[in-house]
Amino acid sequence: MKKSLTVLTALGLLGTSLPVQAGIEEDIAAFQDYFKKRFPAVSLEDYADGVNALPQYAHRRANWELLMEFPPHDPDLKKGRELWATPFKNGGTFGECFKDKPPANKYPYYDPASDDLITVEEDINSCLKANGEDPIKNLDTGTIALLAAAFREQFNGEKMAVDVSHPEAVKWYEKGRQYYWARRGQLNFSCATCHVHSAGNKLRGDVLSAGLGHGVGFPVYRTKWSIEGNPWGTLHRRYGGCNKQTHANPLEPQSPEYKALELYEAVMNTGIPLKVPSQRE
Amino acid sequence: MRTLKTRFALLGAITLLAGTAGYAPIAAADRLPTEEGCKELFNITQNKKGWCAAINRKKGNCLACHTIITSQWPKGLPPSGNIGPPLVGMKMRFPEEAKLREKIWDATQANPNTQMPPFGRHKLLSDREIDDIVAFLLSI
Ligand code: HEC
Ligand code: HEC
Repeated sequence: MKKSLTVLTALGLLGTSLPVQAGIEEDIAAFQDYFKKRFPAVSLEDYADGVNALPQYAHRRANWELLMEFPPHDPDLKKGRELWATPFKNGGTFGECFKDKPPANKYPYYDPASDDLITVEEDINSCLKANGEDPIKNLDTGTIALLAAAFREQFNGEKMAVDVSHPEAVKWYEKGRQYYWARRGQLNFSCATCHVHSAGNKLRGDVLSAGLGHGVGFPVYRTKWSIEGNPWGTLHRRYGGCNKQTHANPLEPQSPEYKALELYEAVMNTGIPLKVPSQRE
Repeated sequence: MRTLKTRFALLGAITLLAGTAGYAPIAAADRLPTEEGCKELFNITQNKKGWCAAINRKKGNCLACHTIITSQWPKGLPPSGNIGPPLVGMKMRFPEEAKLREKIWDATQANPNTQMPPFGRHKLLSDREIDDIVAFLLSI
């Protein structure tokens, strides 16, 4: 019985011909199975909605659904689309830069030419530079988030399928995996402490989201951030916030650690359709 | 609009009922202090010191993960989390005081995968504060 199950899972994964190594395939299956057992009523796609997907959050979900009828992020998103479509002084556009780039469901990707792991935010800035424009400095919030949303939303519904076949990509993956599971800071928390072992539980009043689905809906528009004046946030802004909560030092957005973490989370999300942008509490 | 009003009235009635039927009324003086209240207290008993160290967000912050079952729960204290089990019946759960102390000093000793921070080992709490919390927990 057990054997046939394993074979079935293997076949299932082979069927989708994932560009990942055997060890990584097992990691994905183990991670996703854990949450399937923990929240049997939640489907893989549902995890794109973050904490809103969990039954433990049901009492607040109606609130969120009401908000989504007239999403508060809409006016900004329109601005982002305009920015995306506006030609640079030299006549070039973001669209042209991204024509040869992978679709959003395959970010971040390893680029052998620069021997680097590349995120959407980095490709936006490379495009600006290549067209003689100033790169964006604030990589946490504001214009960078609006542009990333305008790019990523074009691929909504596409399933996450990051390519980790290159040996260097595997190294980045491994670095991200270690960061995710290592305990740090005075409170001795890892990402997994809160988002795997305590997913669905309450930390004071906050229900903790499942680690599965993290990033699929980013950038996000957050009520808490909007009160502070900068409602939009990139995934790395959120990572910084979580590091601070645990009394660990936050790292810079686009630091190698956060890029590796983004890759690890993106790989765990394999098969979840993109849903950009998102509204969060 | 009317239905909304009726609903509120109903809610109020239910809360009132729960308030009178479910719980014995507690005189304000018998309640434990809130985090704010703790700041104004001097010369308090070890138990109360322990409670104050436990609920302080900059100290134990135990309520982030545990509720503490006590009839003296103060009004106005924010709801607690549920990552850890409710702290109740501590004397029965921990007949050996040293075991309880060790749990708070470094929960990873008994359970390497615990989510609970190692309060003593990582100097989140002083020895003194841990003693106070242990005394308080054994009193509930
Ligand atoms: C002390 C607990 C804690 C730790 C440790 C922690 N987080 Fe979080 N995280 C939260 C809380 C609370 C939220 C807000 C509620 C939610 O969405 O889970 C959150 C939200 C997030 C979100 C946003 C999810 C969404 O869809 O909006 C991401 C992504 C995230 N955390 C990633 C991480 C990563 C990566 C780490 C490790 C570097 C980490 N977190 C460590 C508590 C924590
Ligand atoms: C971030 C979460 C977290 C915080 C903060 C926390 N705990 Fe815990 N605690 C847990 C978890 C999870 C368990 C159950 C697993 C275990 O026993 O290690 C636990 C178990 C315990 C137990 C054992 C309960 C039993 O019946 O076996 C005691 C006692 C305890 N905690 C006391 C405290 C005290 C006192 C504080 C504050 C000084 C505190 N905890 C703060 C998560 C936490």
